[in-house]
Amino acid sequence: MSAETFPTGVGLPAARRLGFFRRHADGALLPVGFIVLCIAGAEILARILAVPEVLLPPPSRVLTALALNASALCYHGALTITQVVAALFISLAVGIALATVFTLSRVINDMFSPLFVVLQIIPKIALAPLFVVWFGTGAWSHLSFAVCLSFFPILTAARAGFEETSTDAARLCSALGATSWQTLVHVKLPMALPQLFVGAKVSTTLCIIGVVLGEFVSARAGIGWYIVQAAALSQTANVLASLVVLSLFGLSVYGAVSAGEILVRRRMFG
Amino acid sequence: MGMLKRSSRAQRILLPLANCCGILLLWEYAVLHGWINPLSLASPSAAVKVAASSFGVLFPHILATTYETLLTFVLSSVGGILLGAVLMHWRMFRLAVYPSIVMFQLLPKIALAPLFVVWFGVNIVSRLSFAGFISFFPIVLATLAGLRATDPLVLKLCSSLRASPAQTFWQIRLPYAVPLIMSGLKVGMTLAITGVIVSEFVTVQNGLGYIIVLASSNLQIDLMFAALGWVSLIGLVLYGTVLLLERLILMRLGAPVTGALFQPGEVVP
Repeated sequence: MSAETFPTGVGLPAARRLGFFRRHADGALLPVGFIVLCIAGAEILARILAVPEVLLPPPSRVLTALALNASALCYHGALTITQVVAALFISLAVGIALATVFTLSRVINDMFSPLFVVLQIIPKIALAPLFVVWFGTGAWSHLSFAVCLSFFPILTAARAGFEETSTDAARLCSALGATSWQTLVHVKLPMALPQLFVGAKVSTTLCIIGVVLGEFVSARAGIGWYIVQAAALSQTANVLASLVVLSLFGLSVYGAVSAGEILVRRRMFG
Repeated sequence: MGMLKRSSRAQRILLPLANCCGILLLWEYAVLHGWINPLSLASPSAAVKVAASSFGVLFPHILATTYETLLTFVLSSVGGILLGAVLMHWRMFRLAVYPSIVMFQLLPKIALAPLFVVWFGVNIVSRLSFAGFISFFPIVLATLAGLRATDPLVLKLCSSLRASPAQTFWQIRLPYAVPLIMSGLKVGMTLAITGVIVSEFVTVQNGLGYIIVLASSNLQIDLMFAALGWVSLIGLVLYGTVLLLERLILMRLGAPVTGALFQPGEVVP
């Protein structure tokens, strides 16, 4: 480990001498192998030990459940993913708006930002039933709960982005007589974009958690509702199948945000 | 726009306090005058009154939630730090497992709560294992990141002084890793109480999460706010304890205490 810091010139041929397997092991083979091993282990364990399907359904059984319930899963999944995406956009708007207000006024910043920090330490998830009392059991309740969970990372990211704006650019703007609002819209907001994407990535996971937990507490449809129903009927394979769907959704939303980040970075920094 | 002036210390302490009092007063006044339906938002005074009058009923649940959170936190931090150390030393294992753990962090693990009831039943084991499952992995990742962030020049010095691997670990790597490990523990503590509350929602047996669900289905909004107040208080006190522990350890090590109260990366539900 310590030798890595000093260029010795001995390392290179040694690395080349390693075989094909060794060179690719680091990158992809080992992690993929580990996952395959885990799945195969679960399958073999479930079959050999004849574990009851309620406790540990073999992965093949989960796949069957996935195929059998495809239409139901698609219906509930579509409901959930729509809410997740909507929640993500609303929390982007809320987070950026709050960050703008905080940046423009030092007094408001001093008044409210400590409260938001304290709110972060409190387990906000305990509020889920409150949103049911307020908004009923429909989509509004899940949406608002998800926004309440997930706007904060965007707020902090936007504030960090606004503060990162180079003082030279800010000084140039004020020398050219730009108003604070113009500076914000034309200089600070574009420069904060990379930070905003970092916040949005954290927010994505929180949005999914918020919507699914809202559906746990109260819903008549959606993946969260489906999971609770399947668990109540002890259909573990169905629970795992819906989790697979949820994970795929989560990873694809995350991937979309990351792709946006790469695009913006290319645009901005070449 | 010019740079805003840095506000004075008094302003940074007094303003939020005044703001907080103002919000509470406005809230009380709004409920009192019927601007807000008391069925959807209990006034602060009503919540405090209920919290006081039903303290005897709430007390076992407060105790249960605190106890379960602490137990979860201790178990998952010991386990997390151990696994982090193992991952640092065992390269092959790290390469195989690390990407899975990172990807695992992106998944909505909270959705697994009902499954833990199927596996372990409605009892404390189910709650502890679910909360541990939620809070364990961030601690592992933080420990690993901390242990790997040691200054390479110091490690070079250690190897040229022929320090044994154990000496290097205990006297160099671990102290260097303390800030990151502690920030992992802060996240872990918040996630532990989150996991316990969610698990209490699902198992509906005891604890403040149970009280919240019960009060919400009975539309006892004041009892619900009392329980929420207790949850917040427990969360803040436990977080503060970890924060205090961090300061103590850093002072003991003679390290500069620079950590902010809250870093942007540590966002938890």
